Amino acid sequence: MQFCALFAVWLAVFAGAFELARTLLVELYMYPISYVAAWILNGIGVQAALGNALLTSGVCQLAVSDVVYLVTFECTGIFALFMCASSVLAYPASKVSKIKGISLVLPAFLAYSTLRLVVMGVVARFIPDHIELFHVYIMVLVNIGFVLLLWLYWVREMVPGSERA
Amino acid sequence: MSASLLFLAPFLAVAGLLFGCWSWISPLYMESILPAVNALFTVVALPVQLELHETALVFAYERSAGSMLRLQMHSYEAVYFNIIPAVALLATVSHKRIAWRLGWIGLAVLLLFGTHVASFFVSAHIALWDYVHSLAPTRFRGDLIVGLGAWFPTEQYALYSSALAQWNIWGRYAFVLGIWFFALRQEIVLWARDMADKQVAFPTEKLYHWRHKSLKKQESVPNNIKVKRAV
Repeated sequence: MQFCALFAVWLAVFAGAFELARTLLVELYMYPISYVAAWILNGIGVQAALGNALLTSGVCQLAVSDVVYLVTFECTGIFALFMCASSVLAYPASKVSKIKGISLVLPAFLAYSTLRLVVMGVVARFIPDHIELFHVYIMVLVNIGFVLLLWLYWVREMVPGSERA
Repeated sequence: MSASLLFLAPFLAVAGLLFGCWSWISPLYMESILPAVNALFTVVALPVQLELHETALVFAYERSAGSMLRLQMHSYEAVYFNIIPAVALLATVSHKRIAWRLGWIGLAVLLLFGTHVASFFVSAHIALWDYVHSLAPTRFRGDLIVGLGAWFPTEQYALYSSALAQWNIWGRYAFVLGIWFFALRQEIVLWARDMADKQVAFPTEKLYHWRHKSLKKQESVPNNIKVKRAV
């Protein structure tokens, strides 16, 4: 019960922090992820170009074939990262375990979010009619699956049982 | 990692299966939401109704003089798509009886239904004001502002917009996770890696009585613990 309440509290904390640090996160999270995704797309033969004209509005333009994605925070999976981090921080484990958890979650989500954009780029290149299907539906399910996968891995493999109350 | 992957596989399988049936589930669910949302509009005496014309969802606002303003809502299925991960998560919980799963799925769907009704209710406010804001300054716009302002206070617009945006972006999925965490709140504390090993060195039964009385009652202590205790 306490875990569920703390989960909600941490979500609220992240929501507040996000609003305060939105501009910073554009520079530190959104743009680097979009940049690497565009680089990977070009590397695998999918022509992609990244525009930064709208960065001040919190949006990157990722042009793939005839499709221009307006990459928002939602597209970068940062909110799924917050959910996962909240689950880790709310869990009644030691500080060391939580630090380990965040150290696992952060890079994992950077990689996942980059891959997510790459997948969307590939979809735009090869099956553009299915962009909405992937963006609104399939990626949402994968997001939740990935959040719980990481969290369960952390709880089961990285949190010693002796820490449990 | 394999244990965690074992969770992911059935979850994605069930979610995929439900998503395959989405074209059948979605209209049925929408049909059940419509009366609830419209009843809410009626209860609070707002001159708006939600109408479903085949696959087009429309907010029908009755302006003065009996004329109607109809605004179509796009991608409305995304509003209640979180039903799928919720059902898939609860259906694929291991070591739980069917009755437990069905009970929690029923409760989750009921809770989500409430949030979906609220989402459509709030969306009507936002859609109408968004439409007004998109119009060029004409007399029609002026009349509309006066008429709308009587029913939908402008000060609610900013609050509703930001609340719904946050909810849509991540709240509705965090809520699903929250339900899942709550349903499994007792089991979650047992998931740490070496819990089972630790139990061998202690009088397991007493330890569980001490720590997890409710678990003993529900006979949800993992089987491997019982086997080790017997040894």
